[in-house]
Amino acid sequence: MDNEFNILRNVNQVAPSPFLWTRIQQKIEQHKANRLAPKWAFSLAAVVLLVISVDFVLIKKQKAKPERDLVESMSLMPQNDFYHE
Amino acid sequence: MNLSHSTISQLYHEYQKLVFNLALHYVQRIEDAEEITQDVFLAIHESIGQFQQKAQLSTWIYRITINKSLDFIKAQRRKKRFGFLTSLFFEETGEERYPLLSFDHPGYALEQKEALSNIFNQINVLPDKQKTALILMKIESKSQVETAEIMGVSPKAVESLVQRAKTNLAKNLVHAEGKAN
Repeated sequence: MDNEFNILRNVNQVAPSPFLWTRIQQKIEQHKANRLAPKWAFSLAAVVLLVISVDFVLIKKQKAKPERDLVESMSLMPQNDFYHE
Repeated sequence: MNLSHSTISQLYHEYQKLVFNLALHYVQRIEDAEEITQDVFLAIHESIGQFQQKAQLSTWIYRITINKSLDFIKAQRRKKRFGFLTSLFFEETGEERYPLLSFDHPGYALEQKEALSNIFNQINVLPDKQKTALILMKIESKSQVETAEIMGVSPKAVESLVQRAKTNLAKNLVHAEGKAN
C-alpha cells in the first residue's frame, strides 16, 4: 500500500491558466454589481415593515367594532323599545 | 469587509498555486479546479473580516479551498442524480448530460497516468474527512499537526483518519483489481 502512496508524492505542482486572475476579477466585479446596496435594503425593509404595521392597525380597528357594524349593516335596533321614533 | 484590489491581487499571486493544486487533487480536472479557485478567491474577498489573526492565513485559505472543493463535488453529484432523473422522464430533451469525472490531472508524469488514475479513483470514493486527511498528508506533504490544524481536529484524530483511509483504499484497490481480472 505504501508504494501506491509514494506515487502520490510524485504529483507535481502546476500553475493555473494566466487568464484565471482576469476571470476572478470579473467575478468579483459581477458579485459587487449584483449585491443590493445597504440603503436600498434598508428602504425595502422599512417599506415592508410599514405595510405590515398598517395592516395590523387596520385589522385591530375592524375587530374592535364588529357588533356595531353588524347592527348597522342589517339595520337592527339595539334597544328593546317597541317603537322606534 | 471587502479587500482592496491590490490586496486581493497580492493574495492571489501568493496563494494561487496552493489553491489551484489543492482543488486539482480533489477534482482532477483543470476546468473544475479553476472554477473552484475562482470561488475561493471570491470567498476570500467577501469574508476576510471573518479571518481570525490567531490562525495562519494559509491555514484559513486551505480550509476555504477544502470546503469549496467538497461543495463542488457534492453539487456535481446532485447534478448527476438530477440529470439521471430527467433522463428517465424527458429522454429526448437533448439537454446537457453531466459526464463522469474524467482524470485530467496535469501534475504527473505520463507513464504514471494509469497508476495515479486508479488510486485517485479510489480516493474519490473515500468519506470526505478521510480523503482530506490523505490529500493533505500524502500529496501536500503536511505534517500530522499541520493537517490537524487545517482540519480543526486533534492530531490523534488525523492519525486515525489516515489509518482508516489506508485500510479502505487497500480494500477498494483489491476489489477493483479483482473486478479487472
